[in-house]
Amino acid sequence: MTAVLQVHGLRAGYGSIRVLHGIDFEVKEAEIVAFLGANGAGKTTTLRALSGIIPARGAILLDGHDVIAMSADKRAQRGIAHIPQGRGTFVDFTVAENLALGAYLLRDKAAIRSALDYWDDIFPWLAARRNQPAGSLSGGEQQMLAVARALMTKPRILMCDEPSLGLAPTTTQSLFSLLDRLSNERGMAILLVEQNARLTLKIAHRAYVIESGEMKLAGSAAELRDNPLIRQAYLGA
Amino acid sequence: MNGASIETMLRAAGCAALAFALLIVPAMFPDFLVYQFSVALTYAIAILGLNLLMGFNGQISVAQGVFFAVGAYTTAIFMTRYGMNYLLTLPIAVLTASILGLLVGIPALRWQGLPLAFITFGLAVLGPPLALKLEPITKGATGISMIKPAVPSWFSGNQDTFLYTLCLLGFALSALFVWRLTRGDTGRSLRAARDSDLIAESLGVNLTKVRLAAFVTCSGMAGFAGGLFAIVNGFVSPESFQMTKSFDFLVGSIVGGITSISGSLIGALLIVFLPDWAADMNIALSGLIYGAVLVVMMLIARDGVMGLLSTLLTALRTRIIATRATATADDRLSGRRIQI
Amino acid sequence: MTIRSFAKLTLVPDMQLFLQQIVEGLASGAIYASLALALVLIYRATRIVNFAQGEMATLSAYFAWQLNQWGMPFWLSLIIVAAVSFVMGALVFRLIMRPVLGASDNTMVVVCIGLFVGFEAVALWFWGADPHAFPRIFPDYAWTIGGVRLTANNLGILATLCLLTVGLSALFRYTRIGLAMRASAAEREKSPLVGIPVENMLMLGWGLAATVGFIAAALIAPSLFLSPPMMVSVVIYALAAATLGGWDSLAGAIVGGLVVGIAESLCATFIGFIGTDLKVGVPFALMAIILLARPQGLFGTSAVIRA
Repeated sequence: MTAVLQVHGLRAGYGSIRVLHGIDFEVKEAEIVAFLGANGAGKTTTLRALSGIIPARGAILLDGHDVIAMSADKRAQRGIAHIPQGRGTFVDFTVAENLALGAYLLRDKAAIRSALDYWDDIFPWLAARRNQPAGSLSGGEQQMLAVARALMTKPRILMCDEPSLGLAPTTTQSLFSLLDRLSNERGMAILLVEQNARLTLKIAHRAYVIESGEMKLAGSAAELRDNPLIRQAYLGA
Repeated sequence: MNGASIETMLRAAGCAALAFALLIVPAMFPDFLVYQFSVALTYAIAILGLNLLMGFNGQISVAQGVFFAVGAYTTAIFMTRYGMNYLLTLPIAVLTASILGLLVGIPALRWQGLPLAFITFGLAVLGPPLALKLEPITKGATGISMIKPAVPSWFSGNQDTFLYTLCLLGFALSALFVWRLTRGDTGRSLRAARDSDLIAESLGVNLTKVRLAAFVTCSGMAGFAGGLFAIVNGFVSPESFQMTKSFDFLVGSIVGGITSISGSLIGALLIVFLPDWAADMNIALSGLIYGAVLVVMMLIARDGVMGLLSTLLTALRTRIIATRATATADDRLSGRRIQI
Repeated sequence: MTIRSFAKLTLVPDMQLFLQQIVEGLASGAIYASLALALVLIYRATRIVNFAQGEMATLSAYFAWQLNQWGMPFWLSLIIVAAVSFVMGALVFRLIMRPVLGASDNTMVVVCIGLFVGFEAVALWFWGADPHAFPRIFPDYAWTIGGVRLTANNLGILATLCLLTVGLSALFRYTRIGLAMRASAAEREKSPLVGIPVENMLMLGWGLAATVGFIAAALIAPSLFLSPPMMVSVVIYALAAATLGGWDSLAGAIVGGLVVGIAESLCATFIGFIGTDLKVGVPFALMAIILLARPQGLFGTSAVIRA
C-alpha cells in the first residue's frame, strides 16, 4: 500500500511556545491510523499544522508532494480534509449550506449531485433537516454532518480531531463504524486523533503515541493494545 | 548587579529625568509655551483616565472629551455664577463628571466591545449640541469667561508659572493615584476583568463593580482635568469640546502607550503641539498624521511609544545578561573569574 | 396605536404636517440607510465594523466629481469610480486590516478611527474645505399628493437602495461565492479547510462594500453638498440604523435607516426640547434603547456583536 501522507520532522507551536519538536509518521491508503496521547501532548497541534491552520516546519508529503509551503485552502484543494475539534460544522449555517461548503471545490454539478446522493443514502435523516441550522443538531448528528462535509470532495486523507468528544458511547460506536466503513469501502486514509484509546484501537490499523510534542511509541493497533504502558496510561487496565 | 536591577535603575533614572524636565519648564520656555504645557498636563490627566479604562480594563471610550467638557463647564459655572474659589470647584467637577460616568457606565456593562464604541461615539457627537442647547446654564456659543486665579503672595513666579505648577501638581496626584491603583489587588482585578471574564470570576472579581468603578474613575479624572483646563484657559465654549477632542484623547492614549503613565504625557504633548505645527504647513496635515499614526501604531506598536521603549529596554537587558553569561562561561573555561 | 391617536397624543392637529414630516424622515432615512447598507455589508462579509466607510465613500465621490470637472461625462465617471472604489476597498483591507485581523475589537476600532481621520484629511488636502455642488443623478421633479411633497430624488434613492439590497441579499443567499464570503466572515479559521481562500473573500467583501459606499455617497452628495466632513454627521445615524436593524441583516439596515430618519424627523418637529438642535440625540437614544432591549436588532438573528 502506498503512503498517502508522510510527515518528517514536523515542528510547530503558538508564538514563542513550541509544541511539536520534530515528529515523523505516515498514513497509508485504506488505513486508519490512531494518534493517541494525553491533553496538551500536541495531537491537535499536529492536525492543525497538517491542514495549515498554523504555520509549521518540516516536511509534509501528500502523495509525494511537499505541501508545507502551501496555504490551508491550497492544501484542502490537494486533498487534505480536516475535521477540527469541537463540532467541525459551520454551526450558524444550515445543513444544506454545510454540505454546499463542503462541496465548495467541486465545480461539476454532477459530481456535487452524486456526492449529495451518496450521503443522503448513508444518512437518510440529512434530507429531512436540510434547512435546519447545523447548531440545532445533536452532537452525534453534527459529527456525522462534519464527516459528510469533509468527504464531499473525495479527499486523499481525512483527519478527525477527537470526534468522540462529548458523544454518548453508542453514538461514538456508530461514528467509528462509519469511519471503519469508509476505510474499507472507499479506501480512505484516516488519521484519527483521540483520547478514547480503547475504542480507537479497535478500529485502527496502526497507532502512534505522542507525548510532550515527541513521538513516544509507534506500532500496530494490536501491539499497542498489549503494551503494558499503554494499558496503564490510556486504557486504565 | 543583574539585568533586572539595571532595568529598574534605568526606569528610575527616566522618571527622575522626566520629573526634572517638567519642573524646569517655566524657566526654560516663554510664557505662552508654559501655558501650552499647562494645557498638555491637563490633557495628560484625561489621557491617564482613558489609559485606566482602556489599557487596564479593556473598555473603550470615545467620549472622554465629553466628561472633560463637563468638568470644565462645572468649574466655569461655579466660579462665575456662585463665585466659588477655583480650587473648591475641582472636587465638584470630579463629582459631576463621575455622576455622568455612572449614568453611562451602568448601561455600558451590557454594551461591552463594539457597542460601547458606538455609544460613546454618539455621546461625543451629542456633546456640543447639548452644550449649545443648555444655554441658560452654559451661555451657549458665547461661552463662559473666567478670571484666572491670582498668584498667591508666597509664590515666586508669574501667573503662567503658577498655573503650570498647579497643573503639574494635579498631574502628579493623578499619576500617583493611577500608579497605586494599578499595583496590587485592584490592578489585578482590573486586568483580569479586561482579559477574561471567566478568569476574573474565578479569582473572585466582581466584574460589575470593577467595570463600573473603572468607568466612573475614568470620567472623574476627565472631569478633574477639565476643571483644571478651565482654570488655566480662562474660557470655555462648545468650540473647545467638539467630537474631535475625544478623538484627540484617544490618539494621545494610544501613542503614549495605553497602559503607560509617562506615556500619557507623551500623548498629551503630541495632541497639543502637533495640530499647531502641522496647520502651519497644511490644514489637513494634522489629520493625516493622526490617521497614519493610529493605523501604524496598531500595526507595529500596539503599546505605543512607551511600549516600544519598554521592548527596547527588555531587549537591551536580555543582551546584557547574554553577554554576561558568555563572559562568565568564557572566564570559567580559561580559569579566571572577573568580578562585575 | 393608530396614526390618529398618536397625533392626538402629541397634540397635533395638523395631519398634513405629520405626513410631510414622515416623508422628510423617509428622505433623510434613505440617506442613513445607504451608508448603513455599506456598513452592514462589510460586517456581513468580514465581521468588521468600518467606521471609516463614510469617509472612504466621500473620497470616492470626490474622484467622481473631479473626473466630471475635467470634462468626463457624469455616468462614465460614476462607473469608473465604482471600479476604483472596489480596488481601494480591497487594498485598504489587504494593507491595513489584514495585519490586525486577529486582534481585539478595540484595536480594530482604533484602526478604523485612524482611517476615518486619515481619509477625511486626504480629501481636505486635495480639495479643501469648501463645499462643492455634486451633479444630480435623478431629475429635479416633485409630486404633491394630498398636500404632501414627494421628490423624484427621494423615490430614486429608495428605489436604488431596494435594488441594491435585493441584489446583495441574493448574492449572499443563493450564490457559491456569497456563501464563501459569509463563511469567511463567520468562521475564519474553518473556512480554509473546505478550500475557501479566506483572505481573498475578505478583500472581495471590502471591495464590494467600498463600491456600495460610493453609491451611497453619490446618492447623498447632491443634497448634502460635497465636502470632506459630509459623511461625518451621517455616520452616527448609519451606526444607529445598522444597530437597530441588526448587523447581520441587509434589509434590516434599510428598515433601520428609515426608522431612524422618521423618528428623527418626528421628534425634531413635535418634541420641542429636541428640535433641530438636539436631533442628533435621536439616533443616540435609539441605539441605546435597542442595545438594552434587543441587542441583536430588529432583524438580526443572534447577538452578533459580543464582547
